Amino acid sequence: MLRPMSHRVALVGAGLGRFGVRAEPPRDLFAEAWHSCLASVDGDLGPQDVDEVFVGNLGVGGFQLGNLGPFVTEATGIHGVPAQRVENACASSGFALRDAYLAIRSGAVDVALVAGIEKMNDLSRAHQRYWLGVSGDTEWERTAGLTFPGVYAQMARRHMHEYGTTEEHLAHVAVKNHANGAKNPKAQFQKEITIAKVLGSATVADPLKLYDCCATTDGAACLLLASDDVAGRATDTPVWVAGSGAASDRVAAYERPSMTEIPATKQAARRAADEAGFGAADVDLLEVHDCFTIAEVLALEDLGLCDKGGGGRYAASGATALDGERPVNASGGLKAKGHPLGATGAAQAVEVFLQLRGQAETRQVDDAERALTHNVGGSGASCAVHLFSR
Amino acid sequence: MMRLRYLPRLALNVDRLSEAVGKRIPGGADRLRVADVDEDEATLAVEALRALLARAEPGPDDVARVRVEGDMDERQASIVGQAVFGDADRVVVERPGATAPEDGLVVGVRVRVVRAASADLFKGRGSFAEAFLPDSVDEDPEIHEPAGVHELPVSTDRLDALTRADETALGAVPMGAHVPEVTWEAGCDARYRLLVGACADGHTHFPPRRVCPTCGSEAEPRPAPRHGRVHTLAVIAEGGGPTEFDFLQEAWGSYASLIVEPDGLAGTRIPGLGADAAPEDFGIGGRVEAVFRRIYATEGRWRYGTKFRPAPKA
Repeated sequence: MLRPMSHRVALVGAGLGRFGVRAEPPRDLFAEAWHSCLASVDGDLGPQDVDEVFVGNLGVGGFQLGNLGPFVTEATGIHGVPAQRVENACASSGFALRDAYLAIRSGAVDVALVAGIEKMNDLSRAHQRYWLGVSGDTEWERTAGLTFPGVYAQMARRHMHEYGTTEEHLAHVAVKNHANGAKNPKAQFQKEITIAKVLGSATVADPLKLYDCCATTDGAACLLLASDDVAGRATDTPVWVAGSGAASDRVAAYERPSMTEIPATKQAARRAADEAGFGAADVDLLEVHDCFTIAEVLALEDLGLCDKGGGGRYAASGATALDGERPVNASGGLKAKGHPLGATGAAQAVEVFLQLRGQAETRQVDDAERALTHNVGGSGASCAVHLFSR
Repeated sequence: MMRLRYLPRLALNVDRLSEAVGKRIPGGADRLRVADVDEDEATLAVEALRALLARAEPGPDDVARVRVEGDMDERQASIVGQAVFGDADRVVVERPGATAPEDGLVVGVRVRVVRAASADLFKGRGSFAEAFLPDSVDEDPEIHEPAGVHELPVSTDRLDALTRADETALGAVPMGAHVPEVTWEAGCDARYRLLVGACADGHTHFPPRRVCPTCGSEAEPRPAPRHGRVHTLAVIAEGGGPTEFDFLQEAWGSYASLIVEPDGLAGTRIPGLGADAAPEDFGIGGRVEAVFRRIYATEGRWRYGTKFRPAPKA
């Protein structure tokens, strides 16, 4: 448990660029997201006020592995302040958010830029698959022929065996998220799909098919965080980061006691809720880590929204649709919005910022006052959960 | 670890090896004969030898007596001995005509591959030896490709090309995206012998670590049973796995990646590719047995390890 807060932490600006297959180099992608973030700031907080920069990123395909923090900061007009890359695979910017949160709540920092960026579509397909395969247990999982589709497929197969989850349950997740993505002008995929399309798509790693898997996405997202001392300069309607929780676990999925849950999610969610005083069951919307449809099903269970084993049926029930009792992935999720690995955690917070300020347009969740973001690294080696309130 | 590509050709006499496994040989030597095979079989032979001898658990006083015959020079013989024992001090190079050693586990540098007798010969010695067993007995001392160790329906040329594939398909290998040779070698014992870490409280885990992940006490490696059940699996189709395993899809269209729970070690799981069967022949709860197989090619040579095939009904 962390010590009591010195300061409250507010999200005062957030923006992202269009996610998808982008031709622009990383600096330009970053600048696009940064400008979108600056444009969202109501008041006069700007680059000159930023004390520290935290950038989530896996490795931009090896292009700028070293010094990525200073590299992207060059695109922002922020000069001379500490800037670093934060890495936890697909949970990189969730942890970057956490780092900034801890810095501000401790009183050390007043204003922080949190960002995430990834660019991989400029690599050959073989190189992409190489890079997508280094965040599991490279020595033991990868050499058994596994990258993440395979690992999550093993988890899905076991979940089907233990709980009767079906491929159709999983397809509902994809259909819902694409329906939401169709309402998100920044999403990689903006077309609705059907259950039949999902079930008829090519197998990638049985039982997961093409539409069960998120795509390879380029993109960046930026957040401005401020302490309660200075938040008022930026906006009268901040979104408070009420709690941050994070955890780590065995890198290899097969080494965990059960292959049908992600313990790091449970721990992170519990820790965030302890800080915030409310939890997943109390929020109006959630952005969860649906790198594969099964991952959203597991998240529903691990976050306590439904019984263990009931995630498939819950996902198919309509409860998590935009107009359901518990909207999950109003943004389209990783599935439809896209999953630039290092940017996803920050992008989830962008959606929360828009939703809690009533700026989510056609995908607005009514009376959204509290929200949760859930960002997982790999198959559950790391997880960061954040709780937000108006 | 020496690059075996520099060795002359070797062959593996599985029958003779089986007698050496698990035994000290007081007062005599059990000599294994080397003849010409290609360098890849040299890799295979020495890997097999290492694995078998590791299972014999040579003691600190055992010595690899490398008998130099024919066209192999002392340096090459020493390399083989080191490859087997991993310790140059324990290799003694002998010339023909030297007296047979008094005791200790003896490995001759001449090893020949022959077709072995039926599986019964290897009963109780572990299914590793069965990897080399084709169905029929063959008295002919000529070299035969050990059946089943690379079970792919592709030519030897294609397999050789695969050892160079990562250099052509990917250009310069990006850092961190493969298992380095030194790391791979460090894991070979666990891979070949299916070692799990076991603590005094009875917890086991794979791969073996020095600290028990369940209770934090000290853990020691020990072999897991080579039979078990499939806990879960995935059937990997095009694009669904690492690039270095694309060759499995070239050969078969898709492959099964299993998570296996060894008999008697509930909760401990071992990952491995499925072998000797179509992916649809594997299912959760199915019984499987461990076998020694080629795994993949990288940086100019094949790497070996354990796969799992459906176990015959008891």
